[in-house]
Amino acid sequence: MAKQNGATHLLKSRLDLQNTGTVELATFYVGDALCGMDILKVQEINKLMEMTKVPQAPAYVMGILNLRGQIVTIIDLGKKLGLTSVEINESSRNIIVNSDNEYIGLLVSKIGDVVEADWQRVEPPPANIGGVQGAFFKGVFKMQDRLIGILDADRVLAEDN
Amino acid sequence: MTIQDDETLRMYLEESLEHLSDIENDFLTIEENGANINEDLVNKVYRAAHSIKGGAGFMGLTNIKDLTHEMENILGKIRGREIIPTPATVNVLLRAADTLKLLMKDILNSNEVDISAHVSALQTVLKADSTPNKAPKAGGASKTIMTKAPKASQPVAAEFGEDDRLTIAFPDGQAGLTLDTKVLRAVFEQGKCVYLVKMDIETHVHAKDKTCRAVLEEMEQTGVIVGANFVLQSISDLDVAWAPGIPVMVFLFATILKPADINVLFEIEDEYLLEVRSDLQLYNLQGSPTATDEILRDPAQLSGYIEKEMPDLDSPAWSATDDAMEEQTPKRAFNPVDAKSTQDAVTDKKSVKLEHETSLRVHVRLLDQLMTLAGELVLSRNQLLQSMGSSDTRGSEVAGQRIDLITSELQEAIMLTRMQSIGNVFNKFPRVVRDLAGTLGKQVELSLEGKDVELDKTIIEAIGDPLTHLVRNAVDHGIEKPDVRKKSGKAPTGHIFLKAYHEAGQVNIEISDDGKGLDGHKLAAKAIEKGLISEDQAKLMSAREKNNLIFLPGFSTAETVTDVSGRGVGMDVVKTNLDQLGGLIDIESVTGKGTTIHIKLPLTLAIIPCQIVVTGGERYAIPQVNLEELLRIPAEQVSKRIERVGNANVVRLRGNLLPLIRLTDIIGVAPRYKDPGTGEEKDDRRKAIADRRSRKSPLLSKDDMVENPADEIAPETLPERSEGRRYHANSALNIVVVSTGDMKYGLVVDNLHDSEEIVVKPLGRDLKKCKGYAGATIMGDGRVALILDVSNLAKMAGLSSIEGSARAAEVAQAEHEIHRTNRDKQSLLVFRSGENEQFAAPLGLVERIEKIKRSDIEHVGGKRVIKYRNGSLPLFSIDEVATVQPLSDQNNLLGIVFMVGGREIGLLAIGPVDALEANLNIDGSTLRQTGIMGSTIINDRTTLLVDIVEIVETLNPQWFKAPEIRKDESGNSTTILFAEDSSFFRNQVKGSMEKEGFKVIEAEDGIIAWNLLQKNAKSISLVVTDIEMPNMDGFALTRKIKEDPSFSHLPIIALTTLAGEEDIARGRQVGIDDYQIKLDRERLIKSIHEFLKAA
Repeated sequence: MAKQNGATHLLKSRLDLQNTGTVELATFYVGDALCGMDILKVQEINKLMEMTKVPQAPAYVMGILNLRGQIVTIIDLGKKLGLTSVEINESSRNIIVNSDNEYIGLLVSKIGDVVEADWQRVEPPPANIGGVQGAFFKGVFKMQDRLIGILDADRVLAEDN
Repeated sequence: MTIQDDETLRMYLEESLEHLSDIENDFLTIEENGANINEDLVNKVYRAAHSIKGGAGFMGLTNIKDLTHEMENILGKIRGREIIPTPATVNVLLRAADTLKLLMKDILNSNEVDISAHVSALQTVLKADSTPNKAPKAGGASKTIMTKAPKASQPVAAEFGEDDRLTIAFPDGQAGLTLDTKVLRAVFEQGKCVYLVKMDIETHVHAKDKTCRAVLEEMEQTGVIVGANFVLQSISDLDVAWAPGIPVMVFLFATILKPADINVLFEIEDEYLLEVRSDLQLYNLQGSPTATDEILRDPAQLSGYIEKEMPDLDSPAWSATDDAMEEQTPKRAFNPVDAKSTQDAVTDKKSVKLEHETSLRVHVRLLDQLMTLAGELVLSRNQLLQSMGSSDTRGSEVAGQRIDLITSELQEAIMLTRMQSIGNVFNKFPRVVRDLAGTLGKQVELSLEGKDVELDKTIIEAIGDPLTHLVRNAVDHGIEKPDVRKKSGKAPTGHIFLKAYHEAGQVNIEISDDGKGLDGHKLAAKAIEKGLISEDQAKLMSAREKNNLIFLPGFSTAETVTDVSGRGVGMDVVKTNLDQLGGLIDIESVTGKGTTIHIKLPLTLAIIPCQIVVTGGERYAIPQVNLEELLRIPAEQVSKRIERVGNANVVRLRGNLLPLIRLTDIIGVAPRYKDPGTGEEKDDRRKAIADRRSRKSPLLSKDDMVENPADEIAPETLPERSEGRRYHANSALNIVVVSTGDMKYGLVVDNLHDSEEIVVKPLGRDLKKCKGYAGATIMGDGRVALILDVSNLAKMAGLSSIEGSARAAEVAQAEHEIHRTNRDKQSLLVFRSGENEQFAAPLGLVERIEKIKRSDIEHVGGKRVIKYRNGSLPLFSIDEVATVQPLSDQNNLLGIVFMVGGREIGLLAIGPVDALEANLNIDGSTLRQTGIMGSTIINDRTTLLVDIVEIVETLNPQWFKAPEIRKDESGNSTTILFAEDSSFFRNQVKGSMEKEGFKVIEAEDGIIAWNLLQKNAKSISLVVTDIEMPNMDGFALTRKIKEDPSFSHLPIIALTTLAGEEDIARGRQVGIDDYQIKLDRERLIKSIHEFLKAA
């Protein structure tokens, strides 16, 4: 998934849309943007903020963290998506995901609810969602009052970004 | 070829390779013993060959079997003293063993290799004594489905009788087959399902438009045919219409397919398919036992061996013969020394990957120890939990300490399981040396020491190639041929000594030979020629550094490409390999006497001791292997000891200049320091390391920044913190002196912490591009610290090993240091005139050396000359002037060409000539005579120093113009102030200047010179000074003179023994006008004249 080009990626997204019934989304805020991610992708959510800074690391890398004996790279999801940095405060959390056999932490501003999404009501992503490349999303889920961008974690974390 | 499951094959391989490695050394011993046959040893080898052959027979490895069979035959004859093991015989055997190894490397394809040459060579050795019973088999052999019944020529598993056969039949008793118990047992041990299949050829095969061959092929693809009621041949030999010639085929078929799925394959009625379980009962596919109970004739015996059922192996099924299934290598007692890494053994063309490194032999004792420790750990944990639950601090403390202790022990024990003896690597060298020496026509003896030294498995695996290269090098380039050795007075047999030992938590390996050694000059010349270093750099290098040049990439000294050196692997690769392991390599060599290579290796790579440092508020770990020392420069010395060379900072460390890198600069974080008063961490604003002025603190008022004389007072005595803080000890510089390969530099960090043992953890993919880190580790408080990659940091900072200016400066400084310690070290040319008198002349004066035949010397006009480049070169010998032994009457003479009085003259001499650097402790009086300026001891011999100018002057006074006496305005002769601490040189140089008509004022050091200069301010018109002098050196004296307006016009000539670039640059900086080499009086005088003329 990570290294596919845009077209096949989109195709894959569509396939996902057709093939699956519902999906449980862990929702979270990056700044003001509400995003969601397949909850099966999420390893854990924590508020460990005792990070070690890594000088010279890419700007989106917040630092590294000891997660029970494993070194986890924490990524500022805001920066990574091209938004403003996520501010570390009381509500910010790390979502630890397993991508390519490696644990990576995504720093988000706030955690939201778990939402059950029906793929029928998921629409393919537009080219741009609130300033974020559409390619980072698997689709957009419409709730009564708002939209949830369903994030494709592997794609966001792919090295060539 | 018939190969069964890879587990068995792997075991066989491991065992066989072990046998083979022993065989090799045993063959060598057998060869050494010659006719004096050690029967035990031969027996041992015989048994090894026999075991290999046995296994190969079972495995269907025909090539291996054939080869070992022939070896066995020869060994049998040797044992029976029918064949004397000559080197030729042993050679054949060794080569056969090599081939065996090769075959085993690619065992799945081994039968396709052509081994006929080896087999016939072995047979030739046997001298047709016995007719070879196995023809060499070359190529072509392909998979056989089955060959009937084990030949059982080898007693591989002696505890089983040959005839433990059993018959399995369908309940109706009609259709059945017979097979070997062992085969069935092996199949069960692999956890496969075994089925008894009956196929009516008419209804099940032909009616379905299939052929028997197709059925067999299909079965072969999903499992193994363990037995059948007919004789099976190789499937490729079967033609399409082949039929077994019986109406009903019965198979015993082993597969991973479960009973529910098995019939997908056969598509036959269920009653034709029965499952054989490990209890040796027959079950139908629904899992109920069949009516008959005792179908298996000998169930008790079989079931005895089947104790456990393993989970399904999902390895591809190999078709196999029944005999091929048999080999179940009995597990031997564990022995870590025996443990073999066979990682390079197989690259498989046949799709199955045999991974050999997956198992490791560990001594049972060690396992027991681990168990004990694990038990203790659990107990301590319980203790800790309990005391924590009851808030018993004392108890937790005790338990904590206990856990600390156990953890260390556990760590050690676990590490031990990875340890292997270096003998695994060493043992192959006797053979390497023997073969290579044989090829090169050399006699070499190899001694091994410290085979028991243990190293981490990964290191053992990685060190093999570099070591082999070094050993081969020693034989190829180090040890000379016997006749050469004899000529240089050595025993014809060369010695190579390989030694491993523990020292300071590291493993040391030494490879020394008593060969010809390295020639530093040659190496340097070569390096210059290849453009690896500049001539200036070469001049400044110490002998040791020159030797280490061979580690530079692109360097190879072999003049002719030999078998050995032509392999494209250079010493640089050796060095790179060792660097990767965190090892160090150093070479030490005495020309003509031998070479010793020292290697230092860490014991393990997973857990490494590190120095923890703090910079920018974060902790970093620096591996201890890279750590040389820790340096703390007190604040008040910072400006004195830190210098700026170009745009790099250097620190003066015991006379050497050490380039400095600020960690904060490379990784781009703000340096911090701890405020001594409040303990707060604050940003350090110093721009440059040595710059104290700009280190303003925002907390300080402007007034505080004004230079305050109180600053010089020790901070402790200052009540006001704000005034004293600038020089407080905490503004001191903390420097970690690190080395990587041949580079050494100082890393400036904010703070130093303890040394800790850390566990290396890899960094995530987002950080792979950060080259400055080797990984990360988790500290005691649970936070993460980065591990610094010292060599990459240097690269990032732009430091490089040889070409870097900082390094050049260091080399220069090192040379400088040598000058300082070995006062007045001179480069000399040592030669002889008579047989037993040694002479020396300053090398700087020698233009070149010519070979001269006595018969070519002409006697013209009472002088000796030789025709040379369309002119005549006048020749002299020392005995014409001085009372020394007469020139040797041999025909081959040497003409050492000097430039004297503007012309070339040749001094007749004989060899051996040698250029060397000597610490001249010259006695200028005892043996002084015309033409001899003094004597010194070189190589334990009294050596006369030739005064070449004096010789020529004595013989040809007319060549020299009458000294042009320079006078100043008042009519006095020109006065020169001459500062030099060595009385010999003082007299020498003074003499030559006085001869030119100058008046000379001598001074023993800079201070005396300075005082004399002030006293004789008016008369002195030029200063000649030595650089190295006590009290005040030449640089300081020059600076003083140039800074004084009344003297600044005086030209200053510095005299040195060897002018280094760095010295010259430094000299020019302080105002030295010219450099001259001591004892080159002509140039000195010329220079003096030039300066005086200009003035």
